[in-house]
Amino acid sequence: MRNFQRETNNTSADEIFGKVYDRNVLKKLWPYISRYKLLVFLSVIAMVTYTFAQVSLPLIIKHAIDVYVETKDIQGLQTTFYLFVLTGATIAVSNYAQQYLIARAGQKILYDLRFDTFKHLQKLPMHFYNSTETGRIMSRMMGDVFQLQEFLNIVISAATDIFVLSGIIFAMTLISPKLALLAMIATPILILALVIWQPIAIKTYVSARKAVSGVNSNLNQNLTGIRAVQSMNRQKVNMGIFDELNIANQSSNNKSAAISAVIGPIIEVLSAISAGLILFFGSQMITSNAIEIGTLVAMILYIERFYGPIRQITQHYTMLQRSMASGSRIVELLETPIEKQDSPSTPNLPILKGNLEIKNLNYSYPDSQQILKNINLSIKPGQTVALVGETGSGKSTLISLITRLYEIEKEDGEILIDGFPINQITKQSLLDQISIVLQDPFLFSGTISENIKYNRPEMPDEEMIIATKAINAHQFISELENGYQTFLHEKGENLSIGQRQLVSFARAIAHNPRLLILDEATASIDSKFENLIQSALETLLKGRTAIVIAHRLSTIRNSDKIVVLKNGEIAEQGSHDELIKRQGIYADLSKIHSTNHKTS
Amino acid sequence: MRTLSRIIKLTIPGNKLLLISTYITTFLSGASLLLQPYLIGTVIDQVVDAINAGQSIPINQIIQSTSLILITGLIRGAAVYGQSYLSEYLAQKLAYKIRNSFYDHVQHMDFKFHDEFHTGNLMSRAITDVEAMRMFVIGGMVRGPYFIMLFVVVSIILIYNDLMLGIIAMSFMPIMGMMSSYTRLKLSSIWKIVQEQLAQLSVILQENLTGMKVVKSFHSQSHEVKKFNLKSFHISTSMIHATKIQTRNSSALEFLYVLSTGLVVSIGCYKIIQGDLTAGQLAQFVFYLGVLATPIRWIGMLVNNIARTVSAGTRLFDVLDKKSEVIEAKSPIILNKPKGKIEFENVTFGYIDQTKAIKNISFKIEPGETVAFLGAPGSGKSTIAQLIPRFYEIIEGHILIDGLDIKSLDLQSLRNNIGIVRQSPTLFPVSIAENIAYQDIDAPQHKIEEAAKVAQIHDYIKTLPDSYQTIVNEDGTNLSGGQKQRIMIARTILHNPPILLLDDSTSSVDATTEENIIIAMEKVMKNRTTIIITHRLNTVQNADRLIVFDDGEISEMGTHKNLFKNNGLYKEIYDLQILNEEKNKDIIEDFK
Repeated sequence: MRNFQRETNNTSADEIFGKVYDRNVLKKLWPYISRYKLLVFLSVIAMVTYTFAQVSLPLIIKHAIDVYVETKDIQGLQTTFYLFVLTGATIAVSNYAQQYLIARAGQKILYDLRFDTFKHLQKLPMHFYNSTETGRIMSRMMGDVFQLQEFLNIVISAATDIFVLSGIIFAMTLISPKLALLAMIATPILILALVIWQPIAIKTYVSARKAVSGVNSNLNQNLTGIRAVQSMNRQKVNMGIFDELNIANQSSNNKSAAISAVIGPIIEVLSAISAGLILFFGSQMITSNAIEIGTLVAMILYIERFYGPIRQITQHYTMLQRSMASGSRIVELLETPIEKQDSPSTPNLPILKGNLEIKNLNYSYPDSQQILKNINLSIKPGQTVALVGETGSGKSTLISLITRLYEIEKEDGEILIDGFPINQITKQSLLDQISIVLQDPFLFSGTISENIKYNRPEMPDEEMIIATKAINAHQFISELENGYQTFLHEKGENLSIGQRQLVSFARAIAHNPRLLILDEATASIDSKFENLIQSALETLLKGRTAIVIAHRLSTIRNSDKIVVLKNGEIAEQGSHDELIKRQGIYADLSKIHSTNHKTS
Repeated sequence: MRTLSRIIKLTIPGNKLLLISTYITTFLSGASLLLQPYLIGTVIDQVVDAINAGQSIPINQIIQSTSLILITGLIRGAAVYGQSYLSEYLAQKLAYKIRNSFYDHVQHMDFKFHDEFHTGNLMSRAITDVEAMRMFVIGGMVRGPYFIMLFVVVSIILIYNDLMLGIIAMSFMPIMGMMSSYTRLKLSSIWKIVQEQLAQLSVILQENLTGMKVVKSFHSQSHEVKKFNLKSFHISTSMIHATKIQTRNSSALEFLYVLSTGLVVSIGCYKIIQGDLTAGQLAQFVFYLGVLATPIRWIGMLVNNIARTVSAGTRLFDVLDKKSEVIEAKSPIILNKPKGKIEFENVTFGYIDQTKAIKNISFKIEPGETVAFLGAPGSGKSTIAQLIPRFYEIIEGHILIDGLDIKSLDLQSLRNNIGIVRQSPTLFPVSIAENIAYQDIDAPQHKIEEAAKVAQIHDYIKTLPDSYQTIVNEDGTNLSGGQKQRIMIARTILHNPPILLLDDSTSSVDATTEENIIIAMEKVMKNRTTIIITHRLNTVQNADRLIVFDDGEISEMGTHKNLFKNNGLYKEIYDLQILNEEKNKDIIEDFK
């Protein structure tokens, strides 16, 4: 499943900016929002209150100047002060309520979304993980989900802006329709400017982002390969390459800054024009008694607040596009088909005896050639079966089908376990009775104890220690400073690879499997640990059914049955002696191994 | 403070003119901003005076004032543009400078440094910390003085206009500033917690993705979902908490701001009635208060900005100030086509100071000899290979190549003569051809292909759609371990170094691939000094001599025959690995 297409690590424009309105995205995300309708609704009410209070402030000032000063009403001025206090309190409370409620709703929505996405990820078939880079999924979960956090905020602030804008227009018209018209006369210019500016701004912004990601990915490459770089003396050449990228980044960021800085000045100039026009015509209207001083002051206060929201709306527009792009990527992930789930009526597998029957099994991965061809195999309870064959011969695939990592379809053939077709019993009951040890001893960050008890935190310590003793791991674990409570970093990097493999063996054994599968479990460890495990294996395999993939003849030789796979077919099967006698592939393999070790 | 002044010192040199023009535009935009309320106030007073005096309005004066407003508007527009563009330009220049020196510095650090600072750690410094510097230039260095100026000038104007109103208006400012600073500091500690929680969440996610096979095999999905949800819940809670604190502050600010405006307006109106103040002056007060709204919010942001900058700067300078232990001699000798004699004289070395990985080791390897280093993991055999190209500095003793102490050699020439094939192949996301010619950039295509042929990878490369121009994926997933390893070998063959170090180079591939690689290597090893480091015996059959390491010391040295007779550690390893296979061989031979 390798693909040789050049990875586009540069984010393209449509990946950063999506459609502003994407029906499918909204439809899929709406249920998350509608759960918190009440919170959102209350937040909107708070927002309306806030806007109302904000817009009324200049009116209060106007009233004080035009009425109370005119009539020398000192009592009235007191009222003005109280009104200010009241409005201020309203603004504070509604602001708090609005922000808090929307944050609460937003966080709850994100929590739900993360929950569902993670659950969905757990249900996706293994094929998905083989063909999708980890980094890609990580950026969906950590980047895009958090980007969506912006979504609600943006919608609410955009609504606030529109509200404030209409409030201001309304208030201006109320106190002087003529001046209101004058104040807004420059608006079409701004809108025109914004319409021209926006696409250019987005283009430069995107290219600046690309440039930054180029710089960072070059740095990352160089740091990851620093040992190779130094041993090959590439520092100078690499510095040159980096410098070029760094310069390109600098200049495209400057270009982007040059464009994005355009709108601020336009707004400054336009509001100066509006203020000038209002003052000029307003003062004449005052002499003709059409308006009063306070009206003029209020108009100018409104002008100062008028252009801000217009500019913000365009910013919100861009942000909305970005959230939409994130949203559509999350929806895409959520819509990736999941693997078949057990239905409530699916029966459980009773206690496993260990009878495994594989009948006419064919299998191929999606878009790939056939991996397994007409496999017929029967394993009796208690038997140890070794799978032998070259890389790509189908050994690991066969095991993956038995553990239902990949699901087989009816036409692929049958795998029966104690007579039950494996896809007609619950996964839980099947996998609870199977343990697998992989070549790469994958451990989770957490204590050694948590790792061994994995998925069964309630397991008593005694049970865990029985397991570690059985595979000779108890000693090394107890010798660690914190014993079983030693905290393992990511991938257990603070243990040697051999120690990690022992822990992963312990994890498999502690779950007391009826069927034990070892997939090249001792390939990557050195002889010291291998011996520890080998000597433990004999006791472990007693009374259990086991399937072993190994390249060590010593491991293979002692199995009850050896199955040799070649190009997805069973080429030979039988005991070691039988196969040696037969002089086929297995006998050849044995020879290679021995001559390899023959010394000159 | 030292960190801040260091950042400032980094920004100034070579940018004096830019810095000055940035400040000029900044102050110009401030001045024009402050002129507008004054002009508006003047117009209002002109109108009011005319009405009070019963005259018609002085149209000429008003035209003058309003055109002045337009002119200041234009000036402000130009100045604002200059300010935002120039400050970004300056910030980008600093970011460029820091990034380059970071890259150059890190590239030349010894391996001890790279063992300590992992890629992720360095990346986060290069990305987030450099970004913090950039923000500091814009938010701190340029806007800081600007807002301070606004603040001071507005206070002076207000107090000069009317002492009492001025004091009332300004008295709220310190409270507001303190509140914002306090909130920002509190928030930044919450953000740190959130960052930590996010990191934990991403670890769980990452582990689930890379270990999905294990998760599925244990059917532990619900266990994992539980783990994930707990962390996810913590994040939501902290985020809501952070919003609460932030909003509490912003709401209080809004309230105080309205309150101060209210006081100014009602007292101001009273003063107008008393004849102590003109309507224009009151208008000025209200507008100036409006001007102050932004700087007040900015105080909180500045506190945060500086806290971030200091911690980011400390982290960056921490890296930039680290000195490599490997220092080239003052007048280094250039190593030119050495014969390849390697000597260790009483060499002692430790990765961490106390524990010694290599203890007083001495040995000699003759030119053209192939020597295998054997031993358990941690016995010191791989460490030795890292010492010869001087990736680490030894504590005691001497390492000599052709009789020259490597400390006296030109580093580049030393490493140029040593080819290394490592256990985990390092390929770069460039084309396969570029990867093979990574060290010998100018190598012609036919030389590259020759090398690939010797390394037994040419035929495979030819089957790829883009052949030699195929780009290696970022994570190298489009090639198997054995293929990557053979590309590495081709790279070494092309470079043709007199000394060759093979560090466990076949351990990650299966038996058949190993066969192929060994065949390829045999041709390469001819006429070169070669050190093979391995724990698999089947790879050492071509060695002239074996050196067996145990716990940082040489336990045995000699040919296979000698060592076999010695009945020492080598015999033990040998028996352990060969025993079963020997038995098999006997069985097979029995059949024959």
